[in-house]
Amino acid sequence: MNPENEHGNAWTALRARGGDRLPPGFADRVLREARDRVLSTPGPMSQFVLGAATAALCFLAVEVAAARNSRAAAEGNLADWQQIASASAEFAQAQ
Amino acid sequence: MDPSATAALVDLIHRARRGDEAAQRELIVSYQRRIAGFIYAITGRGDSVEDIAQQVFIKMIRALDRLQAPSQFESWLFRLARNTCIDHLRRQKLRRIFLPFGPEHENVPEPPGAVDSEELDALRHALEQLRPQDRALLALVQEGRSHAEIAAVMKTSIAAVKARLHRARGQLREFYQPEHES
Repeated sequence: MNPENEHGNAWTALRARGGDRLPPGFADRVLREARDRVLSTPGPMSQFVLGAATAALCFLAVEVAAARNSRAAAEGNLADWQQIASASAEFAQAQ
Repeated sequence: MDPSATAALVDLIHRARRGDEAAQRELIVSYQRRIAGFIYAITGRGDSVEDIAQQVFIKMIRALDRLQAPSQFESWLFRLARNTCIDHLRRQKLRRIFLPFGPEHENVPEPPGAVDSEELDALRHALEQLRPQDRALLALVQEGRSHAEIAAVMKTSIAAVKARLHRARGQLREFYQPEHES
């Protein structure tokens, strides 16, 4: 005999126990929740707009960071060249 | 299910698909106890039955449009329930990895009176030792689903269902030990 049949009463009690866990008015609550979720779920257009706005913000952030880095690098290079130029002028005067 | 009952169910599904809330409500009321029992058999936790059942029926309402054969509604609904339970248990397992609970939070006993018979307790204990997929398999058999329907629910072959069922039954028999027998 299959164990599910051997313990048929226990299975019946188990399933009934699960059924008893649902409160009265469960179906109405599910329907209300389903309605609320439909209302609160963004449509495809708003999802697209949100995606586009996020992408634009990311792009802007990358551009700002890249511009800041290249400006810092240019200033560093310029300072190095000035140092080299003044060192070579000093060297020329000494000769 | 006899042909007239099947025809009535198909009609109800068509109405529910069109957004008829009375039909959707009737579908929920017709299946809520069976689905809740099925969820309890898989999760073993009474406190999560209501939440999972709610998720299952919300998914049902949203996905009714995609149900290709309304005559297969029951198998489809039990597949939704099975997958929702397994996802729930998987998420719970992941949550335990990242947020380890203390021993006082693990295996919190059911409230007094929740388990009222030794046999039920033994069955719950035995089911807890099985994999969720195997619990679902045994619960589907209890729901009177045929091997072919179970194969469709689990997206596998009938031969694989039979083999897994044989193994799951063996394990259940091994772990089923009412107090008076041990």
